[in-house]
Amino acid sequence: MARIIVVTSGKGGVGKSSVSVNVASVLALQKKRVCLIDGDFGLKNLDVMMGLENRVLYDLKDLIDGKCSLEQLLIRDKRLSTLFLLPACKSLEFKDLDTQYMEALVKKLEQQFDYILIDSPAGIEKGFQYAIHLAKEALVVITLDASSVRDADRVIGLLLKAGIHDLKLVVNRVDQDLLDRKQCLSIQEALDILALPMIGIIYEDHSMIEANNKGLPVVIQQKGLLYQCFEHLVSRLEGKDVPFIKMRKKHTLFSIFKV
Amino acid sequence: MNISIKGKNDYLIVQVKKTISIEEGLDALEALLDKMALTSHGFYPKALFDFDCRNLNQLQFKRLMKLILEKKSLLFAGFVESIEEKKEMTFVDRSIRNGEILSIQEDTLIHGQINPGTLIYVEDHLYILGKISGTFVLMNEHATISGSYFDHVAIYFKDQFLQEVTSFSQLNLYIENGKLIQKQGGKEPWLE
Ligand SMILES: Nc1ncnc2c1ncn2[C@@H]1O[C@H](COP(=O)(O)OP(=O)(O)O)[C@@H](O)[C@H]1O
Ligand SMILES: [Mg+2]
Repeated sequence: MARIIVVTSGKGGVGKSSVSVNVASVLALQKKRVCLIDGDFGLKNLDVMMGLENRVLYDLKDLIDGKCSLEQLLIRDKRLSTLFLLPACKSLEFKDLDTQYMEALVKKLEQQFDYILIDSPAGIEKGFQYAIHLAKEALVVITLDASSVRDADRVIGLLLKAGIHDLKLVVNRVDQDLLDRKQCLSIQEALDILALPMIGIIYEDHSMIEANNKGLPVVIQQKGLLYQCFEHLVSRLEGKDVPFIKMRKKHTLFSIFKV
Repeated sequence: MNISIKGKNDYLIVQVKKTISIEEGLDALEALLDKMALTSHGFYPKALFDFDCRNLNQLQFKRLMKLILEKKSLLFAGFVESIEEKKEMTFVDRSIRNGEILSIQEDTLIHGQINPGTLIYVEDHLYILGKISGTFVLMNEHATISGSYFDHVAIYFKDQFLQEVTSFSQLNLYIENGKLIQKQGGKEPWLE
């Protein structure tokens, strides 16, 4: 039976899709069978991030209309044989989605996979309720700015109300420089407000943007800071107790002069 | 009337008004028992006596017993310690998050924090165990908010903004003559 996890946030642009793709990829690197559902209907971009955009032949609506089978709809990743993408489609209207149908679909997927990750729209957007409806757990992605935390707080309230109590925080785009200079919220301040366990710290790193643009998940190389961050996140997801990666303080000119 | 009799379950409750002394109450009881025949078909009703939490001294107690024995119209079943019904407290075991609006209409204990972006209307006593932010509207002069960690909490009285409160010590907030009172320490104003 698969674990069904929705990846969500209060605000858009905090890195839900990036987190979904890389968590899914690390799981698949560990030979877990993973189905990644692009639940951000209307803003589909997982296919681009995974370099699979030319492979999208069918979408959910085709499956619902009986134009393709589930096997045809699921796109196997180019590099990771146990990772599959279930693409949505721009033309799909939410009113076309039949919750009962989706539940049946998820029941079927549950048998075939170890993990079903759903990349959802931000909490305030249409489709959020629908995406969380399917999940039993949630990763709430935040960044260390006050509005992201406030919006996440709101979404956490909605998730709890929807009966999803297994919630974990992913703090993304953590910039050690900003933290050192106290130009953003501290991680502790964010945790104090949201009062949820933290499962991952993902640092700000330009390699993420490059990788997303190239359609090559940043963790694929299995090295570097971001790989470590995601690897640790996945270990915690699997119940292991691993430390959070700490960045060494950068020796800026200022700090060298001070010594 | 300085004395009243109510039926409750299988008992009669003989209640002596708190405005009169115990002696006066006993006088009134004597007069009442003279007038009333409470027996019915040989059964004596059981009576609980309520002197509004006051203790009878030995003499007063003897007089009460004598009265009951002489008048032979009811059985002594004991004293009522308090006639006030215990007020129930609502318990909320979660945090209140951004965007939530609550209305506190009865005594409530919140075991959790109140986050920024919440709006809480308070009509009764509200006790909060966690860190407190957000906006509170006190709806009357009976309403109170008690907590020990207020972080830029905006306080309104009805539709009027009063002030922001930040405090790291135990505080009870309430309205008196339209002004916000911040009472420190564990002394609860509503118990005085
Ligand atoms: N850890 C990170 N470091 C640097 N850039 C990041 C990081 N995470 C996400 N980004 C970038 O932020 C932008 C938004 O990310 P995306 O995953 O699309 O967010 P969302 O799905 O929440 O809208 C993208 O350009 C992405 O490459
Ligand atoms: Mg996205």
